[in-house]
Amino acid sequence: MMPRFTVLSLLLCTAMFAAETSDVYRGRMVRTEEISRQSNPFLRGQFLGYLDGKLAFQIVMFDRAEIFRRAIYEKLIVTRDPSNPDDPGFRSVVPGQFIQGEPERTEEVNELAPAANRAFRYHAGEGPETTARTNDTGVLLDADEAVLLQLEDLRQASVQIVFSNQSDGACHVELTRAEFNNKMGISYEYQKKSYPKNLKAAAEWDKQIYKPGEIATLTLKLSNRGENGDVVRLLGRSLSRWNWLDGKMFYLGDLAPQERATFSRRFIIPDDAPAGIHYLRIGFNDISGTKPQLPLTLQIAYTGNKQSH
Amino acid sequence: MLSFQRVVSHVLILIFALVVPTSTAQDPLFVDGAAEDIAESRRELRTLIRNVYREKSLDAQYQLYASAADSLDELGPLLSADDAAAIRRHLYAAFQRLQLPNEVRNSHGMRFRRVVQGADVQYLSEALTEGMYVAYLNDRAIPPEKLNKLLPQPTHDISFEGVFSSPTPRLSLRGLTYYGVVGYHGWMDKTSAYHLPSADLLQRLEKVTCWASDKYEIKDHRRSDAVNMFGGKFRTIVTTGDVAGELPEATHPKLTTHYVTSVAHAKKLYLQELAEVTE
Repeated sequence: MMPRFTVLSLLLCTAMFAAETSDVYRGRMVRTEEISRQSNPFLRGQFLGYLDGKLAFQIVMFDRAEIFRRAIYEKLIVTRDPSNPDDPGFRSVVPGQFIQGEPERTEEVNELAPAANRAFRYHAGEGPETTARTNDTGVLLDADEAVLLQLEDLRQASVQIVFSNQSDGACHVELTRAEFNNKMGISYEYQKKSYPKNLKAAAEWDKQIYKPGEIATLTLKLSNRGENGDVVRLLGRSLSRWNWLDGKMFYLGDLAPQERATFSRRFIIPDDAPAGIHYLRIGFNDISGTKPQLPLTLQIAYTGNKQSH
Repeated sequence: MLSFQRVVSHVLILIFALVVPTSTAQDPLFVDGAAEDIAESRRELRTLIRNVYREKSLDAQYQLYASAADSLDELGPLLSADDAAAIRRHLYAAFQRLQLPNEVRNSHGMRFRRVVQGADVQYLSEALTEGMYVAYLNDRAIPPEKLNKLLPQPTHDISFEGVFSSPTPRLSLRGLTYYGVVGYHGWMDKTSAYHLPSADLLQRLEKVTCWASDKYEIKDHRRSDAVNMFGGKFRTIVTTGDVAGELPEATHPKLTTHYVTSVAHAKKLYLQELAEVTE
């Protein structure tokens, strides 16, 4: 005797086959779910301008997250009478069952935090590598003037600076001369009358006498003594027979009446620099084309065996 | 009515005026034999000039030349223009053939010695002395406060107490800026006879630091553009054989000042020296 279940199943299947068909469809999207998220932290740097006598860059940590998500859909069953082609069918949501969509990849870039209190190695262009540390707000000062040195060549349209460290990776900052000028207050966008005769210039070395191998810091102090009339687009450049004294740029910009500006530069005295007094000038250039000059000297001490010039 | 006596005296005066030859203020210097005297002087002058070529002794040669030049100065106005010009050409040729003295001195007491550089001969001065420079400072009444710009380093003994003076006037002046050199040059040289030495010449002189006459050119175009943009001017200086471009207000403890003059001017100076001796 056949089991009752089997007989009933056979009967049911026969009946079904004879009556309807069901198809599975993707229904309404219920939600998305994140499959995976991969974090890709990176650094981004930007040039801020002139701060505390140095060029300043801010380095900030970002994250470029790679996220895979997929949509989750309701599972729909549509039952139709196969003998009736016009039958719209009966749709029913299968409770508790869902259909997964295809994974989709997206990226999200989020600012995390300034790269604060971190040591970085950096170099500008083909220049030598140097190191500096960011402060609490991720600001790094180019104390070694690596960027300024690359921009002494007035034909250089841009300079690339690379900041890196082992833990955070590297970031590249492409600093164009246009952006540099803009942030330093050197504007080429307008033409105005300039009054260079109102200019008063003074300069101060951080020491009176230097030794070979030392670094001499020169601070230029400019003021517009006039009552009316700006000094417009003021630049300075050191001029000297000695290549280590020559060619340093000073970026001063516009000086309104009674306004003052300062700018400092470092001069690295070579180990074999001769003792004695060395002459240089700061030549100025403003929009008017006049070129006032400020003569200066730097003294290197005689240190026994060192040759004097 | 005229008296008989008055008429007779008028007639006699008339006869006297017609018969006796009159003299004028335009009479020639030489009467009758004047042309011969001029010709003789001309021959003597030509002989003098020929002897200049023949004379071996330096001083005697210059003295002959000086005599010839003086004679031509006197005789020239009496000669025709063509003749005078021809003799001047001979005299000039003789000047060219004058032997070269080893040393000459100018009116400021600056001595020049002969230097030969290949085919070129020049006369190079001794170093400018403190005494020579003091003479210029006082003659031009240079303000004492300007001395620091001309001689910015304490490499000299020149001081000012009403007038400039130096206790060591024969000492070579050291540390004169280019501005100082130009100022002295303008005062000393009224005829453009003196110049700074060339860098080439200075490089051949060992242990000399001196401003040179060469225009300094910056070979690096980028630096040249930048220097021009900011108004820089460099002058050529030679420092113990090294040629460099230096700022005109710069100086150096071993910097001395020298000038050069041409062979022609040196000969003129020698003639002047001889003239002073014979006076």
